[in-house]
Amino acid sequence: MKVECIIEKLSKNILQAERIAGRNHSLPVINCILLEATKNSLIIRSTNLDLGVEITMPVKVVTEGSVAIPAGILGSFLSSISDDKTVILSVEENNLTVSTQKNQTHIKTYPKEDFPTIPVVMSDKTFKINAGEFVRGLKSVWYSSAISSMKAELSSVYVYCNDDEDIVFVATDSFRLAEKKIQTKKAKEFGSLLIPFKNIPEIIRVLEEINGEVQVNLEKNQISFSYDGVYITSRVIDGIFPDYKQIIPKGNTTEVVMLKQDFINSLKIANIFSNKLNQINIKALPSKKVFELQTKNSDVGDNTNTIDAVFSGEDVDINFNYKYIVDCLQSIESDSVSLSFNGISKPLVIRGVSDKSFLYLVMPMNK
Amino acid sequence: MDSKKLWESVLVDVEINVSKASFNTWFKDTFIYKLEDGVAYLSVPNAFVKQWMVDKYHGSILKSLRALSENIRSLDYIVNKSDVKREDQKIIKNIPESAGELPLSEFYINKDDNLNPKYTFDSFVIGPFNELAHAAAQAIIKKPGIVYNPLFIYGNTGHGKTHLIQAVGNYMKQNYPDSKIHYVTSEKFTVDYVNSVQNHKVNNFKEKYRKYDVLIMDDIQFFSNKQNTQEELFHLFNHLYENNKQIIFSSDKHPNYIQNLEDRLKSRFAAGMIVDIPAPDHESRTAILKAKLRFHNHVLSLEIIDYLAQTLSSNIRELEGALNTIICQARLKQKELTLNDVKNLIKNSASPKRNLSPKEIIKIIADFYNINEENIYEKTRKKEIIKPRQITMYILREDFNISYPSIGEKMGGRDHTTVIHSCEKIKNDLKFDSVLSQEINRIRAMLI
Repeated sequence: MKVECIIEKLSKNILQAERIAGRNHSLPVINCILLEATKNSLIIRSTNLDLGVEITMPVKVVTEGSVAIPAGILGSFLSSISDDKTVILSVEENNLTVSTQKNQTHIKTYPKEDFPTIPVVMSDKTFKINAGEFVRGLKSVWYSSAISSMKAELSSVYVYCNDDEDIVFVATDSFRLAEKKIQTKKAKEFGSLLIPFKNIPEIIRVLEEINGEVQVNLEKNQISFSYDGVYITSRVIDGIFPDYKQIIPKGNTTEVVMLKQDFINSLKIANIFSNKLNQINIKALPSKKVFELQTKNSDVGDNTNTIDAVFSGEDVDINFNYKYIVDCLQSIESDSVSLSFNGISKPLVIRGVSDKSFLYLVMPMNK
Repeated sequence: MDSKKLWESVLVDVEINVSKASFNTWFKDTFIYKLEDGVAYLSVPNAFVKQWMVDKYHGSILKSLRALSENIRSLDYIVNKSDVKREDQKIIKNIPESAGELPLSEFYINKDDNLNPKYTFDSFVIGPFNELAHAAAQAIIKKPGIVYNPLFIYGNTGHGKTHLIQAVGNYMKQNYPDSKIHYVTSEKFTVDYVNSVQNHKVNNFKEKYRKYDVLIMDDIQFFSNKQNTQEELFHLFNHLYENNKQIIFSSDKHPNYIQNLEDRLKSRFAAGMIVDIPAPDHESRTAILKAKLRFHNHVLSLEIIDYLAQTLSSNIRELEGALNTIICQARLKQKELTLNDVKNLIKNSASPKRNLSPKEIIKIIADFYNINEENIYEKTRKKEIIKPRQITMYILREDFNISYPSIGEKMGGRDHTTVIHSCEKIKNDLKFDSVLSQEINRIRAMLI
């Protein structure tokens, strides 16, 4: 194999592929990326057996062929090179030679025959979707997924189409829940699926690069996204997401509306004094027109701060995990937020004012 | 040949031809899902494996399948992640069921509170040796969290600590159904904590333990040397204590003698009530035997009961074990056992003290430290000799109750003050030298 290509482009694609390659897998070839030169393009493949990516880029091919090299080496090498515009990759015996004007590198290769094939999702269920919107949906909720994989349904993001033909993204770890609705034309075809939480960051990273629409193929166990030479495929989970609608409170007993930035600033201050449990005490007192955040840490000190807000309803004094509250604020796009309380042992609902698309539910801490 | 056997034979073939790593990567969690019309449907965990099977192993698998079973014509694949998992879980669940065989199964252990319903106050025999501990437990169940908090019960193994503290839990469960009670062994607590750290779920761990109204922790001597768990226990303790939640601990030593236990924990344990359950006296042992007999609906002659109480002196668990053996034998042979039968039966389970002469003890200790027996008697101040010599004196005094002057005489004509000094020194060293205490425990084990 011998190819010549632009360093900058190659470097970007290699880095993207390397991130997905397996780490410390017992089968060494899984920790590799595969480079394959055919006709006039170079195909870069990597997989961790959960997620697979295949990137095709046009290059000048002198001789065809393929090679598997450990992930991480080529990427870091290329990203630090600045002496030349193009690079020549060639295979000699068991080495991949990477040459630029001033650099001559040999990288050890692995037997390429063992490199797994990336499954191709072939189904009738294929449609196009706006990549940016899809990423926005994932980003708004994925942090709420459960980290442990005890329940596969909870450690994934649930994506489905609702009656209003929005695509709805939901994630929960049973302490909090985030839901984001995205309006798109093609929602109907989506049906419903569960994408493993582990794979979300990589999917986001790949799709983020894409402007415009991405082709989605979906079958029972696998989903794939393809766009202009980039193909990424992930396992989807075969399971049933809990019926979360029923836990969303219908009304509220106390409602507070304030500027999002004020709330973020106050939470930041409060966090300095939060204890090991990240406990934060919230007092929303419509009777006195006071909204107060209080944190206490016996080793550090304590803090009480108040925020200007608009109130309605009953007084409430309640504790939360700071982290759970602050997590959601990045996903709220409007300037002001509304907090709807439902009494001491009921979840708090956080929404952007006049933004119906996002909803966040967080359970209080008891004592 | 059923499909499971068939697949196992195929795997044997495959395993020979591929490397171990590839075998584990590709063939783990695969099985034949069904055989239908000559088609074998192979279940694979994900699409990557499916693709790889199709590309690489399809031919050889099909060949092996055909060689083993003639009516298989083709091979297809099904991606089947969730089913595999479910099956695994089923297998795990099945094991305890099939292993639990005999009558004890009626004593299920409640998963929420971990309490064993077998341990109640009704079956607890009160004697002079444990009446203080029992009284403390009774006070607690009347005013949980207020009178003795924490209650710390210590005593040697088999003296009834676990029974007493679980009885408190069971009583509370019955009489205060709303209160959340939890029994946990220190080992389980440690494992829970370590797991929570590994899974980044420390908060869940904290919340889990902080919600209890009564927390019972058994065998906390195992916390020695576990600094982080101790710290967690410390915070948990403070939280529960401040909220007037009852905490009960048990251990085999007084908290001050638990090696490497943080001082702040020791002092907190001391804040409530520390009760010792010493070895049961003869009358109590007899009473316990009688209670157990009643429980098993069995009768033994007073002579035998007396003999058992006499021989199995230190440990109630041994007493129970011996009694179970006897009852089982009696039922098997369907006749009353005589005293001689009983003596024969329990000759192994009973551990009567061997009558060792001081000379034999000295020999054992000298052997343990790999020095000559004569050196112990000599008037030398070599360090490697002094230590065994002092330990010998300590053990002769503590375990065999020999008088100081007579020890001095047996150790090569030493003054009784030398002996007193040696015993005091070892006793003091034991408080912070864990190696020494281990050595002495090992020597003691050899002396039994």
